[in-house]
Amino acid sequence: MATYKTLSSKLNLTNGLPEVSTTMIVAGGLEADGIVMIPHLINNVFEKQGSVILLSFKHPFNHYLHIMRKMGVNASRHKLQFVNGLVETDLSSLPPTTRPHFTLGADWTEFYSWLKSQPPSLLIIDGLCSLLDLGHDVKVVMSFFTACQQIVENWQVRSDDGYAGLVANMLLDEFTELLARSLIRRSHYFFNFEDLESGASTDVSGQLTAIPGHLHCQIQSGSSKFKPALLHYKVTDTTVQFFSPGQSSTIL
Amino acid sequence: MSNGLSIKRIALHQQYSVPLIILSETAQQTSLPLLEAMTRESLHFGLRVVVVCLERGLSDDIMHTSNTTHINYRLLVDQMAECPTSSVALFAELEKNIGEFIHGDAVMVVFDDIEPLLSASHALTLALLRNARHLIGNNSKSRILARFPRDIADQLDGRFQSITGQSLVQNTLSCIADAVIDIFPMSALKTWMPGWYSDGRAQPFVSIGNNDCRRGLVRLEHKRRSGKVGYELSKFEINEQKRPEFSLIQTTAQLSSAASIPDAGQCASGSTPVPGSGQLEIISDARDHPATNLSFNLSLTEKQRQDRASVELPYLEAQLYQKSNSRLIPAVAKDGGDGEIHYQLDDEDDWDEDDPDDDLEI
Repeated sequence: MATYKTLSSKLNLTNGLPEVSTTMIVAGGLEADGIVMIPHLINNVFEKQGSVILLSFKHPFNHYLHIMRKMGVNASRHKLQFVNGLVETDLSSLPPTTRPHFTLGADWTEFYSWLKSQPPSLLIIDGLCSLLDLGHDVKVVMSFFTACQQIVENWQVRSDDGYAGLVANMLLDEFTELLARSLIRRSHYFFNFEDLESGASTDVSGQLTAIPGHLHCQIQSGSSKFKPALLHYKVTDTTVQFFSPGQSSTIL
Repeated sequence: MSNGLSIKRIALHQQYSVPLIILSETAQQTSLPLLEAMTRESLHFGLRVVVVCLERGLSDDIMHTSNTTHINYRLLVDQMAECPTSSVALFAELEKNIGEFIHGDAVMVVFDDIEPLLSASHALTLALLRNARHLIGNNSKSRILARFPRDIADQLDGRFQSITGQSLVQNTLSCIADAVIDIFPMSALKTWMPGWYSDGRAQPFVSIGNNDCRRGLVRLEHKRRSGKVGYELSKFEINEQKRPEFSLIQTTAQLSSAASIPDAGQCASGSTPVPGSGQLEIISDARDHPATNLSFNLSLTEKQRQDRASVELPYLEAQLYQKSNSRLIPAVAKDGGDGEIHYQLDDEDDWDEDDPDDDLEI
């Protein structure tokens, strides 16, 4: 099941999603990838009849379609647009089901213009730190992130159906720490997936530290009921289970 | 009511002319709630507030008051692709705008974040702050309040830290500013006391301890007009009315067993861990005696307390009484007893008008 009910209840997120027009940063490690959050967020937006725009610097569209199919989500029935940030080559010859809706070229202003023309959506940027690997400076990456954030904030969500927000997924290590420190100052939520502190375990895949970002205090009227938490999780074939440390169903 | 803390007097405009205040933060603990609370205090005090928006600005209850003006310098999406050749012009325009406001009534200029300015140019940012501070002078109620990320400031410009490991920008800012307020999470107290609370290693910047932006530790460096530099460590908390409250740090550690990772439920409200749960406890109540839970006795019985109180100090008689006609009479305050010290100022003595007992918590 792509919606992690235990995660939503432990963090006290309404409908499993952060507040509208907020920014969430998901960081992960080599062994504990934050990509596990993406199906959860996508499916929760689909349940609200909202749209998702997925910009990936790491994987092709097919990769995400496979994951969602295994978790029981039929992406073709919902409004999911894929932006290819992986390669600059023309992918128009691909079948329609796996063809990206936009390819990010060297000029990012075209992407900004395209993004502004889209309806309010959950914008997910997977692999933001890849821009550093490509040789871009942290300031340039932050400039790109801030531009996307401004566009998302300017989207007006007109009804209870629909959702607008920004999620950025990145790898956190000593080379990307500066980027992560800059991002946490511009986010409302920071989710960090990492290996288990006490070592490897067959029952636990890793741990999640979910804390508020620096902008969380500005959420309107302090209405957020978000509960910071330290959770363990186990990745299975079709779902991800979250539980408090020591509360794995295998142990109990 | 003042509890003697300088940080409280500065934040509540009770004393001190402090033209330039830097709120220094890291990824572990944001200073944004404290900056907003101090801005609200300035509005409450009657100052006009000018918010220089370089990022998202401040909360709506500050931005939309009649006494608040905001000037927006946040780069729009369309401007981000442009080459930053106009940095010098941008700084000049910003300095001119700020100068116009400062020349008017008492005003509080708030930079919601100076990181974008530092990204553009360290030198121009420091020059801007220095010039603005110079415009205010020493005798005005006007202030500049700026939020500064001390953990990333040096790297933004592609530079590295100095050989000593200290932040170059932070050092320069502390020379220009009249007060630097460093913000730390409450969990930092443990790393400052290695051996008692932890092994002294700094916590990672993502940890469950960093979950409450409305309370933390502040370290104040305050440069006064007399030339003295005061340092102070205290706690802050933003209360329900969004006003800042400052208090002393009183710590009594009870190490019951090895520290463990706090459970999700315990840290949800930002409260200190429950004693006896295998975690360290910081007790902020000064009435708790450190000798309470020891295996040996350090306290006094009632008889011991009375015996101690009845001991006559050897020179007390000389201080309180003076001889007159072979009789002891109470010493008059003006004449003093034999224990009083009379001091005559030398010509070279530099009389400091500041009260030397200013730092005492009396």
